[in-house]
Amino acid sequence: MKRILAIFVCMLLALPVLGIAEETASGGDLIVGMVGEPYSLNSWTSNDLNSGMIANLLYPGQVTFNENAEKVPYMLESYAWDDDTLMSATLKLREGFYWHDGEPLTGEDLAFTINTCVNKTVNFGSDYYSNVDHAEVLEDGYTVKVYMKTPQVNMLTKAGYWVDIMPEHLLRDVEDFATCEYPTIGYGPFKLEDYSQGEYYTFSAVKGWGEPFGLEGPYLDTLTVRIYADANSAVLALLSGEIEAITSTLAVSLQNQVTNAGEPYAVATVPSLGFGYFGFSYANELLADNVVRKAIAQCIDRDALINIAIEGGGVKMETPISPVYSTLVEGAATFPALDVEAANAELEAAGYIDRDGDGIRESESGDPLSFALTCRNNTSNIDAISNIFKANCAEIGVNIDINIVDPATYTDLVTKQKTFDINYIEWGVIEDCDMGMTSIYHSTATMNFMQYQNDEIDALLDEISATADADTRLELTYKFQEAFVEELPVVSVLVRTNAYAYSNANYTGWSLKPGLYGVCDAESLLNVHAVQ
Amino acid sequence: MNQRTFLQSFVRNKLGMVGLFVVLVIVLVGICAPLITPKPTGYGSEILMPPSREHPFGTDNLGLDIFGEIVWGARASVYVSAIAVCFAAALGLPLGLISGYFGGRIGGVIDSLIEIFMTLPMMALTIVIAAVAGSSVTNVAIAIGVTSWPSLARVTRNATMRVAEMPFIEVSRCLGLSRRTILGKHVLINVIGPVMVNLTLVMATAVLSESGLSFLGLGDPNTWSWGLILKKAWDTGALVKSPNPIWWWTFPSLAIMLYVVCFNILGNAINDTLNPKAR
Repeated sequence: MKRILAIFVCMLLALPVLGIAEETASGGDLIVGMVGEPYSLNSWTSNDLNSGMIANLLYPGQVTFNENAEKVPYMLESYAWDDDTLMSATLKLREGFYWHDGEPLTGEDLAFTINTCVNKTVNFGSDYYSNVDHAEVLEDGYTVKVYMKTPQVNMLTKAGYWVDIMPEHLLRDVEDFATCEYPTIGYGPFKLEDYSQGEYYTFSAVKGWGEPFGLEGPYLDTLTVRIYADANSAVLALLSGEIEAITSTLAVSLQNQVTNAGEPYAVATVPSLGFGYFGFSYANELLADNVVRKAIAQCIDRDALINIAIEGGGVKMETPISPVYSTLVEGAATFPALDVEAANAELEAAGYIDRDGDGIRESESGDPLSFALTCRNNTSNIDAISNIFKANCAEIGVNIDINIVDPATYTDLVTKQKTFDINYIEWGVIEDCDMGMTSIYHSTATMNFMQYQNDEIDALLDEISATADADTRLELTYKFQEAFVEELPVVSVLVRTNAYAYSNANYTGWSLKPGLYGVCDAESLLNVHAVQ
Repeated sequence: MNQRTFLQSFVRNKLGMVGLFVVLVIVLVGICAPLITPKPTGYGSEILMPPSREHPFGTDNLGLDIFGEIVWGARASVYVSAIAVCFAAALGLPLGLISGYFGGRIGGVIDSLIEIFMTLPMMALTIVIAAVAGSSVTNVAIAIGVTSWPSLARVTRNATMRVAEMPFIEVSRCLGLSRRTILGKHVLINVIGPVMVNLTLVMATAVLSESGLSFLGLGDPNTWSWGLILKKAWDTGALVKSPNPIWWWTFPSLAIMLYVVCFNILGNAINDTLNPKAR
């Protein structure tokens, strides 16, 4: 008996050395909170953050960001231009992945995605692949050769990050992607099982999905994304143990609330790769006048936006390209500086005068400088941002009516119908800035919500995209910024520090890297596991 | 009960007088808001300051004076209540009178309509109307008014049915007075008591509904209202954060409570005066 006991004790002592005690706990039904409703599950036609987060679980990107905010292959094993002419590229897809209906994920799907974006209208996907002529699958079935019409230096990284691979076997007959019956069949680590709009999205984990990456995850059994109307409710849900993490970035006051709660709650921060801007719709005749746009640009108090509105949770942005990319903005042209007096004088000289004494200037034809500011209600501190902007504009006799709407309505008004005067938007990620801001600032871009057209800017962006040499690109990027601050289709104002809250009470293994989805990125969730 | 008797009787109701006084003060504050304090706009440096001599109700996250917000919020509350009552009266009063006086098929149709509307979840309906119409104070007020008429119509109908059977109405008919004269001069004047009570309740619930809509983000972000102040406090975590800027959410909550309670007291006092036996 003693011998058996001794053997048993020895075995117990040996467990940590053998690594058995260190084994990660498998299983668990993780619930996370999302602020606001995804606009649509159609990954190829929606471009709001919440839709993207759901899509990220179903369709992880061809490329992703690493910890240093550099693009690296993910679902692709490799990608490279064939030579310096940038006229063809070779993409190799990872093997061993399957669509959630059992079909293998192959180069056919990738080639189909590219050719569909080239030949049909697929929202921003068509923009990103606009310079591609066609794609074809090589004999191994996983290598895809892409042939260009004109060079586009960032095509591989840009489209690879933003355009999800389409299931060829399900979408081959679709003609119109805007109205099609889209499948929710993905190839990612989580399979969509059930959802109710405005309430929840439930996924089952695809066990063993991480093996090609050398990972054991996902460890979870299921993942549920619960929808909350506002960030405050989501934070309360986190602190009450209802959810384990929040997919959306939090305002400073809410970060403090989580931090003050102490263990097991935590907040992880990472600089945003995106930025916030006020955009002007050129469809509004008054805003189509450069004098009005410049005056508004001159009255925006960025210090107040940073210190009061977002409570110090970010930095000022005074150049068209984010200061996060410091080499691209040092010495670059800046937006007009704060100068209310000059703004008033310029409006006065252009004939915008307050003729009826109501504090609002009118044009010579009597139209008041009164605009609606459309913003999304799930943007942190949006009330303070919009009110500061309103107060700034009031100083130059411009009236702003604040219109704060839910994300779905915002998408409809701004990105789909483009029926707005001024919008405030915060991009999650605007990357590859050295390769061109084409996706949002080219006049033919789907995301040119402003509907502006400037041939000089278009030509510069086209030239940047087609230039392989980094130094020449940099020079052109400076020229682009010069032209952009003259045109002023938007006024960029701030770059946030993204903060994500989570709890270590029941689940651990959270990680954060630059990108869009914080600690609830598909890659991060692969490693999340129940606390033993 | 004639007007003088009513007033004499009402004045004796001390609680009712208190309610009336507070209601009048709030209404006056709302109307005279521009004379009391400038409209809080923009932003300042005194952020989240507790109540002081300069800012009796403290300041919010933009450094704006909460006293000013409450005063200007009273204006929105009075406006919303008035529009809602007008809408409710414009719809509910004639429908109630017609239904109660004529009865028969017309009365049955109107009664069914009232029944249908009363079974609808009014808050949800108000939210839908406000969301579709857009977030302006007038739209919110109309949305509340449109959903407030059924109770008024029901009260008017019941009172009209009772009055319509009274002998003096029969005499009016025999004298050949037109239906319009009978309804307008004789029935309406005799049902005005319960209608007034109901209208005061509509005033109170209108402010509650407006606050609810504002809190849900369906209010007008360009006009101060008590619900909007609460929403701003909620959005920035002021209700739960530590240290807690208690003044930010306490004063608008008190204002809403005071307004609703005083209108209810006023309604009860009118009811008690008109129906002494009901006390």
